[in-house]
Amino acid sequence: MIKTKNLEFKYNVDLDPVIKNININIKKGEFVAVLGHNGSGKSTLAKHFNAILLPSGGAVYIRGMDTRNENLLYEIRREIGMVFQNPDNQIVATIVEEDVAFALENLGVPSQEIRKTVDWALETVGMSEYKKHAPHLLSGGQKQRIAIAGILAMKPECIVLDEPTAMLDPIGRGEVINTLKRLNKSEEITIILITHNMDEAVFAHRVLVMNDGEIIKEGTPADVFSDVEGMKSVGLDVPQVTELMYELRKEGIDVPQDVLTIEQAYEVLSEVLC
Amino acid sequence: MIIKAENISYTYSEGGPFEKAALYNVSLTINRGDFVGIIGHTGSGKSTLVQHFNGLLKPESGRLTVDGIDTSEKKADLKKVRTKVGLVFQYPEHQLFEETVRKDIAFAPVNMGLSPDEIHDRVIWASRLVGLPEEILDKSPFEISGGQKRRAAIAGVLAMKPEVLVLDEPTAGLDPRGRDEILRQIKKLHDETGITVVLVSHGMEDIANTVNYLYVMNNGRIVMHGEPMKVFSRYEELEEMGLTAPQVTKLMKKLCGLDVCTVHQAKEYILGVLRRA
Repeated sequence: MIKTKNLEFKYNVDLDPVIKNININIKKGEFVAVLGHNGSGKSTLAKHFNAILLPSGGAVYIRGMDTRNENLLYEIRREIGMVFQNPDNQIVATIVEEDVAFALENLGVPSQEIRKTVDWALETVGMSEYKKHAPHLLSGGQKQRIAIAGILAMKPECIVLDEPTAMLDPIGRGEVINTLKRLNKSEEITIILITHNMDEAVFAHRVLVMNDGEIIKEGTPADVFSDVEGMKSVGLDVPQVTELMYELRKEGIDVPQDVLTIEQAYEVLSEVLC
Repeated sequence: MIIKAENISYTYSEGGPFEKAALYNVSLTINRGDFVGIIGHTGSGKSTLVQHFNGLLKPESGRLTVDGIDTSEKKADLKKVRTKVGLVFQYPEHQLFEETVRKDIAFAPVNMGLSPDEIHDRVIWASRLVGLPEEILDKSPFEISGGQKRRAAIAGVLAMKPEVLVLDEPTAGLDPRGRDEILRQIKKLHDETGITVVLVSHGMEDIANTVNYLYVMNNGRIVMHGEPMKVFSRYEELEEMGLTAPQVTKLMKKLCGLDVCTVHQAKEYILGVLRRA
């Protein structure tokens, strides 16, 4: 689906690269989380996936299409949709369903088909009942789901989300994350979630950790979070129960390190304590 | 006691088509030197409540006093209230506007009519408290990092030397390192100067690790209050309100019915049990 080869990017030829030596391969249907602190290069990387930024060195291929080829730009952007952090910056229309229809109208899709697609997109993100509402009266989580529906209407193969929950409260976060899980599972859309919130990365099939513009770690959430010290050293968190296991191991207690959820921790500790 | 709310209620656009009740009969007392947390989901009334603390909003009914000054009274000295209670809004870095960080932090002291020496001292003092290096004071606030911007904005409020510092979601949008730094600075500030701190947040782990007392708001009312440990142990009720509790709280409650709210407390307990065995 997405492949990068020695990808490097500089904002200016005289400056140091913001990202470098990036070699990744994201398969169709995967749910990948990209973790890293602010300034680690994760947003710069994300912007290469739909050719908002073009490589200064190396290459990015979207289903084999080189993003540097301008003639393929439209096609690449139809494959890869992007959702950004601030919901208020992504909504253009004054009625929810018109906003979702925006891209389709620009593509000249017949109106009956627009109707069908918009209804489907809103249904998929669970926002059908708000289709006649004004977006500015919705909550942050609802607005983000409208932004996702707008992307969904283009029927992309892959959605890249750049910190979509950073400005949301816990309810809004849950709404957005559940929507993503559903899209990945039932619509088989490839999801790339850029975040610094480890609770959201736990759901991914694979986690990439970025620091100083490079991918420093890659693996399942359990693999990645087990390295408590490594994660902390690059300014990231691990789930509290993972940290608890780490602390107990340091005291010489024999518990596994790859514990991510309360349920797993419960099982482990009820054995140790009883 | 420095802030006291007695049965205060507040409605936005009262009588208008968008009338929305935001607070109902809220009562609370904040004592000098307290480190208080307020949690609640979006729209629960937390921001409306804290805007009463420095007289930006006045209760429709009930009474709010700050160090004995009733903010609803016609003759109330609100200027005095606002230097006593410094309010840091959400995303305070959006309010930075001066040419240099130094001038921005100095804005309140200049308007308070202090002498140039005193202003200089306060700028240095406030920027040290939030951990801003002196060399960035002469930079533009727009060329420093996000975490630094936020600390500069907090320093601007601290430069008034308020007796109470109210922070509305000070860690929103920051990465884990930025968040820990801000919280550490706030805690240090509280421990070193004895300033009263009110922290509004929906980051439960942030709250659990810092505050001494916690209020929970839902639909404009205070629905729970107490020590963080006690409040978080009622996580099922919190979840119904769209809030969560720290992972370790849920784990330890399930495991042995114990109230804890930090990883450290959980670890100490488990080690204790194992040592006794």
